[in-house]
Amino acid sequence: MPPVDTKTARMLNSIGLLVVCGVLVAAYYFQIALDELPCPLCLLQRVAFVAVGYGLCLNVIRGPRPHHYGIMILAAMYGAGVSTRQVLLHIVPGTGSYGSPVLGLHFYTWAALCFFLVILGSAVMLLFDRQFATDGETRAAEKFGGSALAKFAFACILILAVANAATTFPECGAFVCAESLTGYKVLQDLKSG
Amino acid sequence: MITFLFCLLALAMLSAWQERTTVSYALFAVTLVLSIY
Repeated sequence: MPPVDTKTARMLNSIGLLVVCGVLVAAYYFQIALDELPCPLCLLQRVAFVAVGYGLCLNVIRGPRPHHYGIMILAAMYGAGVSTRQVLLHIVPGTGSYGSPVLGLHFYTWAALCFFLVILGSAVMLLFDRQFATDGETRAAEKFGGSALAKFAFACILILAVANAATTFPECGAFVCAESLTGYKVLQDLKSG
Repeated sequence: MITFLFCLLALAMLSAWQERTTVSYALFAVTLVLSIY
Protein backbone atom coordinates (compact mmCIF):
# COMPACT_ATOMS: atom_id res chain seq x y z
CA MET A 1 0.00 0.00 0.00
CA PRO A 2 1.54 3.38 -0.96
CA PRO A 3 2.38 5.60 2.01
CA VAL A 4 0.09 8.59 2.54
CA ASP A 5 1.72 10.84 5.12
CA THR A 6 0.28 13.98 6.71
CA LYS A 7 1.61 16.25 3.96
CA THR A 8 0.23 14.12 1.11
CA ALA A 9 -3.13 13.74 2.87
CA ARG A 10 -3.31 17.50 3.34
CA MET A 11 -2.55 18.05 -0.34
CA LEU A 12 -5.20 15.50 -1.40
CA ASN A 13 -7.74 17.19 0.88
CA SER A 14 -6.84 20.60 -0.60
CA ILE A 15 -7.44 19.21 -4.10
CA GLY A 16 -10.75 17.72 -2.91
CA LEU A 17 -11.71 21.11 -1.49
CA LEU A 18 -10.96 22.76 -4.84
CA VAL A 19 -13.10 20.14 -6.61
CA VAL A 20 -16.01 20.96 -4.25
CA CYS A 21 -15.44 24.66 -5.04
CA GLY A 22 -15.54 23.78 -8.75
CA VAL A 23 -18.94 22.08 -8.30
CA LEU A 24 -20.32 25.16 -6.53
CA VAL A 25 -18.92 27.48 -9.22
CA ALA A 26 -20.54 25.28 -11.93
CA ALA A 27 -23.86 25.58 -10.08
CA TYR A 28 -23.41 29.37 -10.07
CA TYR A 29 -22.70 29.32 -13.81
CA PHE A 30 -26.07 27.64 -14.42
CA GLN A 31 -27.79 30.03 -12.02
CA ILE A 32 -26.32 33.28 -13.34
CA ALA A 33 -25.29 32.70 -16.97
CA LEU A 34 -28.14 30.36 -17.96
CA ASP A 35 -30.67 31.94 -15.58
CA GLU A 36 -31.68 28.62 -14.00
CA LEU A 37 -32.95 29.29 -10.51
CA PRO A 38 -31.97 26.57 -8.00
CA CYS A 39 -34.91 24.73 -6.39
CA PRO A 40 -35.07 24.29 -2.57
CA LEU A 41 -33.71 20.72 -2.85
CA CYS A 42 -30.88 22.00 -5.11
CA LEU A 43 -30.03 24.59 -2.43
CA LEU A 44 -29.95 21.87 0.23
CA GLN A 45 -27.53 19.92 -1.97
CA ARG A 46 -25.35 23.02 -2.09
CA VAL A 47 -25.52 23.16 1.73
CA ALA A 48 -24.34 19.52 1.79
CA PHE A 49 -21.45 20.34 -0.58
CA VAL A 50 -20.39 23.23 1.66
CA ALA A 51 -20.68 20.87 4.68
CA VAL A 52 -18.41 18.35 2.91
CA GLY A 53 -16.13 21.32 2.27
CA TYR A 54 -16.16 22.02 6.02
CA GLY A 55 -14.86 18.49 6.74
CA LEU A 56 -12.15 18.98 4.11
CA CYS A 57 -11.33 22.38 5.65
CA LEU A 58 -10.71 20.75 9.04
CA ASN A 59 -8.24 18.33 7.43
CA VAL A 60 -6.59 21.17 5.54
CA ILE A 61 -6.33 23.55 8.49
CA ARG A 62 -5.59 21.23 11.42
CA GLY A 63 -4.18 18.19 9.65
CA PRO A 64 -5.96 14.90 8.90
CA ARG A 65 -7.91 13.22 11.73
CA PRO A 66 -10.37 10.30 11.53
CA HIS A 67 -13.24 12.39 12.94
CA HIS A 68 -12.76 14.98 10.19
CA TYR A 69 -13.41 12.21 7.66
CA GLY A 70 -16.41 11.22 9.80
CA ILE A 71 -17.79 14.75 9.39
CA MET A 72 -17.33 14.48 5.62
CA ILE A 73 -19.16 11.14 5.54
CA LEU A 74 -22.07 12.55 7.61
CA ALA A 75 -22.37 15.58 5.31
CA ALA A 76 -22.15 13.41 2.18
CA MET A 77 -24.81 11.02 3.54
CA TYR A 78 -27.11 13.97 4.08
CA GLY A 79 -26.39 15.24 0.54
CA ALA A 80 -26.88 11.76 -0.93
CA GLY A 81 -30.25 11.55 0.84
CA VAL A 82 -31.42 14.90 -0.57
CA SER A 83 -30.18 14.27 -4.11
CA THR A 84 -31.56 10.71 -4.19
CA ARG A 85 -34.92 12.09 -3.10
CA GLN A 86 -34.84 14.52 -6.01
CA VAL A 87 -33.82 11.76 -8.44
CA LEU A 88 -36.76 9.65 -7.20
CA LEU A 89 -39.16 12.61 -7.61
CA HIS A 90 -38.39 12.62 -11.33
CA ILE A 91 -37.72 8.93 -11.95
CA VAL A 92 -41.22 8.05 -13.17
CA PRO A 93 -41.54 8.77 -16.92
CA GLY A 94 -43.68 11.82 -17.58
CA THR A 95 -42.93 13.50 -14.23
CA GLY A 96 -40.54 15.94 -15.90
CA SER A 97 -37.14 17.05 -14.69
CA TYR A 98 -35.48 20.11 -13.22
CA GLY A 99 -32.81 22.14 -15.01
CA SER A 100 -30.72 21.35 -18.07
CA PRO A 101 -28.92 18.02 -18.34
CA VAL A 102 -25.12 18.05 -18.26
CA LEU A 103 -23.52 15.21 -20.27
CA GLY A 104 -26.87 13.43 -20.27
CA LEU A 105 -27.49 13.58 -16.52
CA HIS A 106 -29.26 16.23 -14.45
CA PHE A 107 -27.46 18.13 -11.73
CA TYR A 108 -29.16 16.20 -8.92
CA THR A 109 -28.01 12.88 -10.46
CA TRP A 110 -24.44 14.19 -10.69
CA ALA A 111 -24.75 15.44 -7.11
CA ALA A 112 -25.86 11.97 -5.90
CA LEU A 113 -22.85 10.41 -7.68
CA CYS A 114 -20.50 13.03 -6.17
CA PHE A 115 -21.80 12.39 -2.63
CA PHE A 116 -21.33 8.63 -3.04
CA LEU A 117 -17.79 9.32 -4.30
CA VAL A 118 -17.10 11.49 -1.22
CA ILE A 119 -18.20 8.60 1.04
CA LEU A 120 -16.03 6.17 -0.93
CA GLY A 121 -13.07 8.57 -0.98
CA SER A 122 -13.28 9.19 2.77
CA ALA A 123 -13.46 5.45 3.46
CA VAL A 124 -10.38 4.87 1.28
CA MET A 125 -8.47 7.72 2.96
CA LEU A 126 -9.25 6.23 6.38
CA LEU A 127 -7.31 3.11 5.33
CA PHE A 128 -4.02 5.03 5.42
CA ASP A 129 -2.92 5.16 9.04
CA ARG A 130 0.36 6.97 8.51
CA GLN A 131 -1.36 10.32 7.91
CA PHE A 132 -2.53 10.23 11.56
CA ALA A 133 0.94 9.34 12.89
CA THR A 134 2.21 11.14 15.98
CA ASP A 135 5.44 12.26 14.29
CA GLY A 136 3.25 14.38 12.03
CA GLU A 137 1.79 16.09 15.10
CA THR A 138 4.12 19.09 14.98
CA ARG A 139 3.50 19.63 11.30
CA ALA A 140 -0.24 19.10 11.66
CA ALA A 141 -0.37 21.57 14.53
CA GLU A 142 0.84 24.29 12.19
CA LYS A 143 -2.16 25.91 10.49
CA PHE A 144 -2.47 24.78 6.84
CA GLY A 145 0.87 22.96 7.21
CA GLY A 146 2.48 25.95 5.50
CA SER A 147 0.80 25.02 2.21
CA ALA A 148 -0.22 27.82 -0.15
CA LEU A 149 -2.61 25.45 -1.97
CA ALA A 150 -4.37 24.69 1.33
CA LYS A 151 -4.75 28.40 2.11
CA PHE A 152 -6.10 29.12 -1.38
CA ALA A 153 -8.60 26.24 -1.18
CA PHE A 154 -9.80 27.41 2.25
CA ALA A 155 -10.26 30.99 0.99
CA CYS A 156 -12.25 29.71 -2.02
CA ILE A 157 -14.70 27.59 0.00
CA LEU A 158 -15.18 30.35 2.57
CA ILE A 159 -15.96 32.90 -0.15
CA LEU A 160 -18.36 30.44 -1.83
CA ALA A 161 -20.17 29.70 1.46
CA VAL A 162 -20.69 33.43 2.08
CA ALA A 163 -21.67 34.00 -1.57
CA ASN A 164 -24.25 31.21 -1.38
CA ALA A 165 -25.73 32.78 1.75
CA ALA A 166 -25.88 36.13 -0.06
CA THR A 167 -27.57 34.73 -3.18
CA THR A 168 -29.97 32.43 -1.33
CA PHE A 169 -31.40 35.28 0.75
CA PRO A 170 -33.00 37.14 -2.22
CA GLU A 171 -34.47 33.83 -3.40
CA CYS A 172 -35.89 32.41 -0.17
CA GLY A 173 -35.78 35.23 2.35
CA ALA A 174 -35.01 34.50 5.99
CA PHE A 175 -37.54 31.67 6.38
CA VAL A 176 -38.38 28.35 4.72
CA CYS A 177 -38.17 28.44 0.89
CA ALA A 178 -41.37 28.34 -1.13
CA GLU A 179 -41.90 24.95 -2.83
CA SER A 180 -42.01 26.39 -6.35
CA LEU A 181 -39.64 29.27 -6.86
CA THR A 182 -40.37 31.59 -9.77
CA GLY A 183 -37.82 34.30 -9.13
CA TYR A 184 -35.91 36.20 -6.51
CA LYS A 185 -38.78 36.56 -4.00
CA VAL A 186 -37.22 39.27 -1.80
CA LEU A 187 -36.25 41.42 -4.80
CA GLN A 188 -39.75 41.04 -6.32
CA ASP A 189 -41.31 42.01 -2.97
CA LEU A 190 -39.06 45.09 -2.78
CA LYS A 191 -39.98 46.15 -6.34
CA SER A 192 -43.71 45.73 -5.74
CA GLY A 193 -43.34 47.71 -2.51
CA MET B 1 -33.61 29.32 6.59
CA ILE B 2 -31.19 27.93 3.97
CA THR B 3 -29.38 31.28 4.04
CA PHE B 4 -28.92 30.72 7.76
CA LEU B 5 -27.43 27.23 7.10
CA PHE B 6 -24.78 28.70 4.77
CA CYS B 7 -23.98 31.38 7.38
CA LEU B 8 -23.60 28.72 10.10
CA LEU B 9 -21.22 26.69 7.92
CA ALA B 10 -19.17 29.78 7.08
CA LEU B 11 -18.95 30.55 10.81
CA ALA B 12 -17.95 26.94 11.53
CA MET B 13 -15.10 27.26 9.01
CA LEU B 14 -13.97 30.55 10.53
CA SER B 15 -14.07 29.00 14.03
CA ALA B 16 -11.94 26.08 12.82
CA TRP B 17 -9.48 28.59 11.39
CA GLN B 18 -9.39 30.42 14.72
CA GLU B 19 -8.83 27.05 16.46
CA ARG B 20 -12.12 27.23 18.35
CA THR B 21 -12.80 23.56 17.72
CA THR B 22 -15.70 23.05 20.13
CA VAL B 23 -17.58 26.05 18.73
CA SER B 24 -16.85 24.84 15.21
CA TYR B 25 -18.17 21.31 15.83
CA ALA B 26 -21.22 22.70 17.63
CA LEU B 27 -22.03 24.96 14.67
CA PHE B 28 -21.69 22.02 12.29
CA ALA B 29 -23.98 19.86 14.46
CA VAL B 30 -26.60 22.64 14.60
CA THR B 31 -26.41 23.04 10.80
CA LEU B 32 -26.92 19.31 10.23
CA VAL B 33 -29.89 19.14 12.60
CA LEU B 34 -31.52 22.26 11.13
CA SER B 35 -30.97 21.08 7.55
CA ILE B 36 -32.72 17.77 8.32
CA TYR B 37 -35.54 19.70 9.98
